[in-house]
Amino acid sequence: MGLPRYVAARVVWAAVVSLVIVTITFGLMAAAPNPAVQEAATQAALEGGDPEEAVERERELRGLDEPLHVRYADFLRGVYTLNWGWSDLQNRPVSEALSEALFYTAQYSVPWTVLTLLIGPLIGVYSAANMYSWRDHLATGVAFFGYAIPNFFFGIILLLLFGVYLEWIPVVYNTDVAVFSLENARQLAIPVFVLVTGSIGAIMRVSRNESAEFRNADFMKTAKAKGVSPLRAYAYHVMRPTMVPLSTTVVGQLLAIFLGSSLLVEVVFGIPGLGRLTFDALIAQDTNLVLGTTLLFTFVAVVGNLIEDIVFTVLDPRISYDDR
Amino acid sequence: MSGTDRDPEVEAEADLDAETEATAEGGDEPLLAVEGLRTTFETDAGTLVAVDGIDFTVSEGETVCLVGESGSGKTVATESITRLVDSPPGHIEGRVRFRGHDLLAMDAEAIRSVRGPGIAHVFQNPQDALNHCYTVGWQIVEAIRVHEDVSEAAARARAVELLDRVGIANPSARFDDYPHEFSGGQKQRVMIAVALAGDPDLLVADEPTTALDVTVQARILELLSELQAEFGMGVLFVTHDLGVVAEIADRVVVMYAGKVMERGSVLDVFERPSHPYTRALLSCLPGRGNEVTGIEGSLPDPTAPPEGCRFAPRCEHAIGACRRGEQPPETELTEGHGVSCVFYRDGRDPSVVRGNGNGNGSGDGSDAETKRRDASRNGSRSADASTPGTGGAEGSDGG
Amino acid sequence: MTSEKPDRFDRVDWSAYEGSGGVDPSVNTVGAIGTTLPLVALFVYDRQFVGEREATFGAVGLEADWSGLEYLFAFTLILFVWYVLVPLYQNPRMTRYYWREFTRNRPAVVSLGWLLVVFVGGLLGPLVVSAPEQSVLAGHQPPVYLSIDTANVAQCLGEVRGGRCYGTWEYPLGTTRGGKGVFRSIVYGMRISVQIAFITTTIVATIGITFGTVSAYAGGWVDEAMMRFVDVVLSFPTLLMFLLILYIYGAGLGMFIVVFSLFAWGGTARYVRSKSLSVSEETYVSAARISGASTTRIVRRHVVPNTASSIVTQLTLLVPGFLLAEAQLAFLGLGDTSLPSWGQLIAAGRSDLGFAPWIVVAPGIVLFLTILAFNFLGDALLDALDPEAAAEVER
Repeated sequence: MGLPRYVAARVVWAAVVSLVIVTITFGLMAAAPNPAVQEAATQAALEGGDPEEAVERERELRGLDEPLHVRYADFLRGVYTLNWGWSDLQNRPVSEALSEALFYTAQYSVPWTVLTLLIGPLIGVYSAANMYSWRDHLATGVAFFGYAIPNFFFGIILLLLFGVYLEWIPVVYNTDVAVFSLENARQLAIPVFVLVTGSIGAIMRVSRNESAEFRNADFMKTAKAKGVSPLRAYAYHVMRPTMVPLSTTVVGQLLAIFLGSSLLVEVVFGIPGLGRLTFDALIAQDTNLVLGTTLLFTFVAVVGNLIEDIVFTVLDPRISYDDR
Repeated sequence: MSGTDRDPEVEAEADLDAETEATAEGGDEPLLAVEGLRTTFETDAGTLVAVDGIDFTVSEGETVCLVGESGSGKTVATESITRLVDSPPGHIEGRVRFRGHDLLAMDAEAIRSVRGPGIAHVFQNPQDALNHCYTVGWQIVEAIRVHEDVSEAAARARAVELLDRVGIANPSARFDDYPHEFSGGQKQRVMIAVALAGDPDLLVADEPTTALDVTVQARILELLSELQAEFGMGVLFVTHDLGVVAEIADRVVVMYAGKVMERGSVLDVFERPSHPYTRALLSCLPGRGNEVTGIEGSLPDPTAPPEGCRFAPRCEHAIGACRRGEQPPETELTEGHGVSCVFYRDGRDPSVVRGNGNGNGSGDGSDAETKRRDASRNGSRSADASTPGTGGAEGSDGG
Repeated sequence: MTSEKPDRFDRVDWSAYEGSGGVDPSVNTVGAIGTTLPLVALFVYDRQFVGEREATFGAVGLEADWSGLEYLFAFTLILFVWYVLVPLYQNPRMTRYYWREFTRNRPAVVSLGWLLVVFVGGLLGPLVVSAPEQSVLAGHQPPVYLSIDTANVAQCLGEVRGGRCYGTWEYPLGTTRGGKGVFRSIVYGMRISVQIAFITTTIVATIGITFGTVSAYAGGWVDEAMMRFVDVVLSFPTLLMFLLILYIYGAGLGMFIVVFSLFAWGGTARYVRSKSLSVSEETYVSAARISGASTTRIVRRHVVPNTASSIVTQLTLLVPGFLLAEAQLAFLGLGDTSLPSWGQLIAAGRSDLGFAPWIVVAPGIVLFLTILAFNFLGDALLDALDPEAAAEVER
């Protein structure tokens, strides 16, 4: 009892949220004219055909002549069976295009997430341990710089500096290099660096402020009185309680950057990942692909929030599962 | 408690004793000797003197109570002993000899080896003294394994035993519970278990019962005195509760504004209180005349302590000599009973502050003395007893 | 002491304090309504009597043509004056106290200075500085004191030395490919940024405060349902939703502001709710309630003022997110390209980055400084206004 029931309840809730979002998405799509249908009409008009007829044909072809509830049911079935339709732009199933893009996105997302999670709390706690020293001020400065500088702007500047002027890194992303190779590391170094500086700031600040509170807590005095070394005291008695409030920030921060800036960073650095795919789909008016990328990001967000909730509850022993 | 798995502990204890004998300088040196301890803090408002050159000793197996109002520097004094005070902003001077070693001169690693197995602390507020993210068992095991290279299982067994010893029911099940699942009194018991984990020679208990319910207080005190006998520890007990002092202390050190006002055996201090401050404290006890008004005035500003006796601004007997120079040096009245007051020096008449004999202007004091006796004897308040004594005394002093 | 005492001392005659109607139009409300009316009149005049393509102020010789967004912006400014600036003036003691706390933090004071520059620049800049104009011949002019290879410019407006074209004071920060002055574009971009900041903030604060207090005071299943709704709102990936809406319907700055503020109030509502609940536990609120004060009065007089400081902080930290989002969309070319925003400028300069970096760098730095200033300001407000809220706001 307890935890499993709580997790089950959160999973059900996440499913509800995803359903709501999918429904709203459907509503938005259904309420607007489909670009493909409009294009068919334009095409027909240009070729001297009957636009009305072309619209009818196209609507029938895409199943738009069905009643709304049938289309909604079809849509839901399609979404949840991962049958996300055909991408006109990529000329292959949307799911296939997405999984390939995910492969490229993961190559920079994984190191970025890991680095953020490792470095952020460490610097934050270190900053708190040396509060108001020059090291703390430096860390604070870096934190503010990191989350104030627009990622895409920072990316452009670094690309200009290291790619164009210094020629240390390739300007054009190469998809042919092996995942675990030096070339890949070189071409991903700047994007990862840009993303890390963006996400690390908030995490550093939160861990600094929270651990500052725990640093002066009575239990730190207890630990000291027990003969625990300062390093151990920080590693266990400060770091661990800091994780609790931090867990509520980390996922949100990473998600915000994943959903927003990764798109920009992929466009700037030419990485053919999910963000780039979304962008291309938007430009090419590929409805299925736009929908597919949106839904994928949405699910990532829902799952992220789910993880955040569970992690927070697991981390803080004082929270009883019945409360939330 | 149980005989079988205590063997390793007994061995460890024997080792420690042997070590002690080898290192102790003289045979009669007390367990802890604090000399000229002075702790200051650098603050925005200037240098704050929390403890201003105090001396006291604690012998093996003895209970010494540090008494005084809140803010008189008791807690800082005890935390300076094992250098728990953060520095900066804190700064500790003087000498703290523990088993012949100066704790203030030790390097960081050496002092850490004293914290726990040598001197253990129990703090005032058990609510925050335990880390809410770890089980109580983990926190006791940590205290054991930081100092001793024992297996996880052995440490756990000992932790469970300690929990049992401090009176936690069903200890092996509660080992894995978190602090928030314990009541305040139970938390303090866990804290005591943490302190005992290193088998300390000296237990520093800083108002361990203040934050607890009255009914729980008595039981914790009882537990502490049992454990003291069992573990043969010296105890340095900080409190502002004179009732507790009367119950547990062997010797008493009365502190005010970072200075020692009076010291002596519990009998000396309660039966022959000599410093006006001690007398004022005692008169605040229920049924002793001053319980309603308390002591008039408040503690001096620790960043700018007054000249002369720290208590002079609030003292009903203060004369010119009280407000000059330094805190008066201690006068030894009888063996081990010392007082820092000008009336016991330079041929002045101590009866002015003691309130016996001389009837001129100190009738209140003499009344108070009788009243204290009366009050403690028949436990009722006489009509005179509830008249505040200070007003009259001030009037007569001025005249 | 007057002899007219109420019958029971625990029943305060609230109508004496609130006016007979139960609504108490404060000076601020009267002022706000009083200044909004002319605005509404202007709006009606604009819609009814001025042609669609004609300038709103054509009658008085000004060329400005106001869109719906401008009216909204003017309205938020009115609210800002009457509910932020005037109360600060009305409570000089409190203002002085906060100001003293605030000025301890030097970076925050500098930040406030910079934000004032942006604010004044956005408000008055377009009246002083003429709009950046397209002029192909003046393309790629470098900023003053900097130079560019003459091969890259069609015509050098400044000095030419050693094959390099130097910048002139006419275009202090250089020009774009199309010859638009970067400095002027930045000033016009300030207006966009100030509009985004004010309008989104007003919408988020209005919805968040209303939703939060209603939820807290409704309690029970209504509260539960409302908070679940907030969960859903917060789970929405706003940028993607906006992209989707943009894809389906197309969108300009107005739609951007509406969509982003409609998805951003969740945190504020959550915070206001928890704060309302804790404030309503306070003794002084119980005292007011026992004395017969209405819920509305308690919310207005006790709950909202007590949450205000934290809300201000939260909103301060929210604004840079909006500015960044706008810049990102503009950069991707998904925003309204006719809008002279900083993001558009960065996007426009990207292709010429190799030889004319100022087109990207100048607005990028301005954007960076603005976001930085908001963050420093939020941090300082956190310290000055409500140290306890520090942890909660960050969550």
